[in-house]
Amino acid sequence: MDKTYEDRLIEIAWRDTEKDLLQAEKSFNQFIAKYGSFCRKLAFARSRYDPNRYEDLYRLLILDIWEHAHQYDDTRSPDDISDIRIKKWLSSRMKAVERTYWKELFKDNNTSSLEELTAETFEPEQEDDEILGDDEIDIKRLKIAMVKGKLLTDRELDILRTSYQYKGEIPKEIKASICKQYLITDNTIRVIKFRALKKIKEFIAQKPLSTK
Amino acid sequence: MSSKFNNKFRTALFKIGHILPETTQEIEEFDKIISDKDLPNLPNIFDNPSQIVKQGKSILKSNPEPLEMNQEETNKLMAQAAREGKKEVSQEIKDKMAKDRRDAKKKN
Repeated sequence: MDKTYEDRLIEIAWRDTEKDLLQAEKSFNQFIAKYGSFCRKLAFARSRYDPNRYEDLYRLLILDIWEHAHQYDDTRSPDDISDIRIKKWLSSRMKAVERTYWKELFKDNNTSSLEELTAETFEPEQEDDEILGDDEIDIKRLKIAMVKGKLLTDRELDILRTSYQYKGEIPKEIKASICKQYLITDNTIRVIKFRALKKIKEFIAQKPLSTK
Repeated sequence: MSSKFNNKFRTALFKIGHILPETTQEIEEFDKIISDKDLPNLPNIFDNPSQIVKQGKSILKSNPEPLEMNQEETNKLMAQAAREGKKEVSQEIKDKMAKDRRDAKKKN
């Protein structure tokens, strides 16, 4: 019977002897040959318009698969076929990789702590859903709005995309790195997100000019 | 889940390929949302994944140089957010601010 890609993940994790290691490398190359394209798409989704970040995220994901293959659990999501199970696992690993990426990016930079940066700021008074309202979101208009340099600044794009990736709450370690990247405070992140959502709402509400 | 989280907007961002898939349905859709031809080219070393592993964690290519702080812009941003996004302060608010300043001077 042919080996499945779940079998290959087990082989990647099993590296006790020299022979095992050779087999692990072989299985690893086969695994990436099959799922490399999906992995690159995951890296692309989290690095849009930044080729360096794309390359970094993809490299870190490859390393992460090699290091964490033993954590793959084929009993999770028993209703899914193995291909979907593997892709779900890869997507969850990409999330972990993104945290590593932000941590690595500023690991040697101790110039400003969050405490040093924190200042008195105003709190936005509206929740995200109040800003956006109940109308359907025009996906085409949103796609244009999210293009780098079109409507939002780089930091607005980064903050919005990261915030919504993590269900509205950016993890602490990523938040700290974003603050260092853009020299802003924890509270400013909320304000920037608030302003970006307002801009998007206004942009989507505008009717495009007729091409007649 | 945070009460501030808006699922509708998260789904919209997913549909344009900015958010990672989580559910079975999203995994199935994801491959169609981002096609292979959208992907930027990578250096040749990526053709050999075990070579990447042997290299280990190398220095990130991303530039961690922070941007210069623009305090004026930040202050403006805070004030605008406090006014719920309105760019201009209404006459009513301006009058109230002037009155508050006069009252503060009197106290001093």
